[in-house]
Amino acid sequence: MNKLLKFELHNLFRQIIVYIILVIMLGFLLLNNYPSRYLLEYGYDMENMMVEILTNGYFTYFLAAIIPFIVCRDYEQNVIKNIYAKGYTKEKVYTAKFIFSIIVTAGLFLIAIAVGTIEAVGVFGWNKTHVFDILTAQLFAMLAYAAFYNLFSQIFKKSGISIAFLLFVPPLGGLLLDTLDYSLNLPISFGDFWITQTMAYLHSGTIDTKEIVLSIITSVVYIVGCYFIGKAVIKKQYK
Amino acid sequence: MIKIQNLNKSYDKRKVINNVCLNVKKGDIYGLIGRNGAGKTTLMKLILGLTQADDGTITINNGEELSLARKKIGSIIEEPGLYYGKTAFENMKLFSLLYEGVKDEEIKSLLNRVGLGETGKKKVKGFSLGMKQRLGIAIAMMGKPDILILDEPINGLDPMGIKEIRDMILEMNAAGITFMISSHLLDELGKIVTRYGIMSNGELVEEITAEELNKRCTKHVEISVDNKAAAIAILKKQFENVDINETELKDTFYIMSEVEDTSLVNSLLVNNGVKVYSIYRQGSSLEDYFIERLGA
Repeated sequence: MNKLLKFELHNLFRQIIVYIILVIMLGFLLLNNYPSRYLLEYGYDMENMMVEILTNGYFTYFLAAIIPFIVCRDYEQNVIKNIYAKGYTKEKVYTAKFIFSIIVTAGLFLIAIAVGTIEAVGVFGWNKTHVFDILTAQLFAMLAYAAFYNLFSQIFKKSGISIAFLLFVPPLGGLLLDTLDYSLNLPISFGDFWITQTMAYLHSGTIDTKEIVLSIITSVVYIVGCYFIGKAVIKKQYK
Repeated sequence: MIKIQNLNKSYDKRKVINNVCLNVKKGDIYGLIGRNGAGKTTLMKLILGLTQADDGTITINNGEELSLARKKIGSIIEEPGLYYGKTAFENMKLFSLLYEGVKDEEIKSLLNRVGLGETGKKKVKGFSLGMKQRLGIAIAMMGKPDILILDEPINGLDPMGIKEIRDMILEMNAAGITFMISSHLLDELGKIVTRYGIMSNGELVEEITAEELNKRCTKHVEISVDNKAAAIAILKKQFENVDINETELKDTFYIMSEVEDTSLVNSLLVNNGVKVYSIYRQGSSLEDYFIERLGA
């Protein structure tokens, strides 16, 4: 597994496109967050700016580009058979790509938060912060996205179709489930369990612990669920 | 080295490998031949673990655990899997991460061995088909494999490229590497293969050594001499049951019965004062035998 992870690491970070995506992503996040400085009079502060750097949706768009790149590249270039032929099972390769997607997402998250914090401190000055619980929940939510994106990239094995699917299906799925909830009017709301909802309550510095815990639990269910569904799919695809 | 027993594989309800038993011995250059869709590539994929058999057994290196044994097999299936935006060295370097302790020196040595040591910063996308195949072989050679499985390694190559690959295979085989090769270019395969497996409709129709095949393909020995009558008399005197076809040509005749060693015939005639202009076996080619065997 270590060799596979090392392989993925070298494979990804020797691509100039990755750095271009990273720079564009950080630029987007910073620029998008910058207008918050004008909200000072509405009680906006450093914490708000830190928390909201990821809630505008851009981060997930970049994940939707990077994860298919990680997963599909070896399939598209027909290189995957070289790896399989070296005695690495499909499940091992799948797991390595899954873990790597998670690690890259966590890394990107930390970079985004660090940059967001620097920007927030620069704009509002340093305050003692109490948002680590929200940031933790956001991290789990992003990892859930990574697992979800990884699952569909593994299924499609083509980056183009994967990116298109991952950009449109999560918001569309949320919309459809909301419509279903309104139509059925059941005591349970399906839309609350959709992937996009993992981030829904994590944009304000004042949410309660229950919502944070619920978000983390939903994210963990997505991470574990996507992993095992993907594993089953891979097994079936290569029977 | 590779022993396959009663191997079966179906896709949906279509049987693509049907009860195949096969034996690749150490030092063999095993040629797998058959029409498109005969099951050659699937059989290779099964050996490599790229797809799973329905039943049957594959034993590699006398029963070594398969996942370990497969690490000692290098392969190119269908076409080499390469990163086209990287150089030959970068490709090798990246794949070396999947192995234990492959040093840069080994990578350079392998690239030199396949004649790609001087490609420098040239990206793989600018390589010819032959260069890509050779790079594929270099990657397959990493980790010092005991066996190389090559699916159509000379497909699409020009005569020069074919010769390069052929010479490389012979050189590596002489160094102790066992090969399993499939190809449609049967005459090319005939120049290097030591044993054949003939496949048809997922079945292994026949396994035969190159020597045996050569015997079966040989129809007669054609001899040209200065004195045809004297030569025939000498041969009839020496070999009681020799079957000779005199032909209408002034100086040429055929020995129709089996001749183990043409050099003996040559020296017999020369020692008896007959000048031998030419002596060679004539018969059907591997292609003819293959067509005859599969009833095409």
